[in-house]
Amino acid sequence: MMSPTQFARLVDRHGPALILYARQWCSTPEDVVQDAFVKLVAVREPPREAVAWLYRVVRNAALDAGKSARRRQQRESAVARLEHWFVEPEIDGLDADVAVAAVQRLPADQREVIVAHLWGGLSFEQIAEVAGCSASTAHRHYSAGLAALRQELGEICPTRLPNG
Amino acid sequence: MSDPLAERLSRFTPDAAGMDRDGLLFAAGRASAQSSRRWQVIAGLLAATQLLTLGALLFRPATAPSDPGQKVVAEAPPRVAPESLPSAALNRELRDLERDESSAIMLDPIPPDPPLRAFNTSAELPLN
Repeated sequence: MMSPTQFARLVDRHGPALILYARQWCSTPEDVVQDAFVKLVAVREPPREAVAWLYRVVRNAALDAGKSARRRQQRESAVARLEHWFVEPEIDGLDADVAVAAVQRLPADQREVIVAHLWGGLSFEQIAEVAGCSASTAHRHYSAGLAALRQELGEICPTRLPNG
Repeated sequence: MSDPLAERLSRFTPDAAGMDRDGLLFAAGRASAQSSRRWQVIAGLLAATQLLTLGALLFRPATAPSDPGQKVVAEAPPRVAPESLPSAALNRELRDLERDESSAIMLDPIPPDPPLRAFNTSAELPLN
């Protein structure tokens, strides 16, 4: 059984990365992450690896929420709100909006591994468990995604979007 | 994480401004509380007994209704001969006593002694 202090520490440590992870698929990542944390304390037998369990629950819920949101947007044509992925506007000359745009252009499987590994701190084994693939496949997606990002950001490294 | 680009990207902090941390902790606290079903079972049983009592009260077998036009006749007390009543015996004794006294007065009409007096008001009183 997790103590309240441990739980608050888990929220503080992994909450933001989980929100970023869920943001890939849905427009309400905060709700998805909150539901996942509530589920974690409500389960009768706590999972052995709570972090990986949280990522898996968030992934499934975000995918479902994304599908529902897409259906709703088709009906309502909702106005997309500006999403901030990161707190810092730029780091070492690398603009956050440019980095976000580059990450968003990645294929979904590569983007998922990049986000989970870089900002979630998950190992490739954990990512493989969450995403339902092998660790080597996860590593391959990561390498390919990083190469694509390097090609887009590493050489040019712009501070602003060309049209922004 | 030897790649410089990966190291630079990882220094970005994910934005969690939309996350209500206090609300999340509160919701988690509520979810962690085990919901005991015992009080629900007890409350259900109590409600069932109340319903049974109410049903028994409402649907109990009806008693025969009383006829409002029926007259109630009080039974007359049994007649008793006047001689057998105690008051008649007392009256008879009183009458015998009065008869005896009147006969005694007739036999000795003068009283034997004058009635007693508290003070003698005759000349025997000394005068100053």
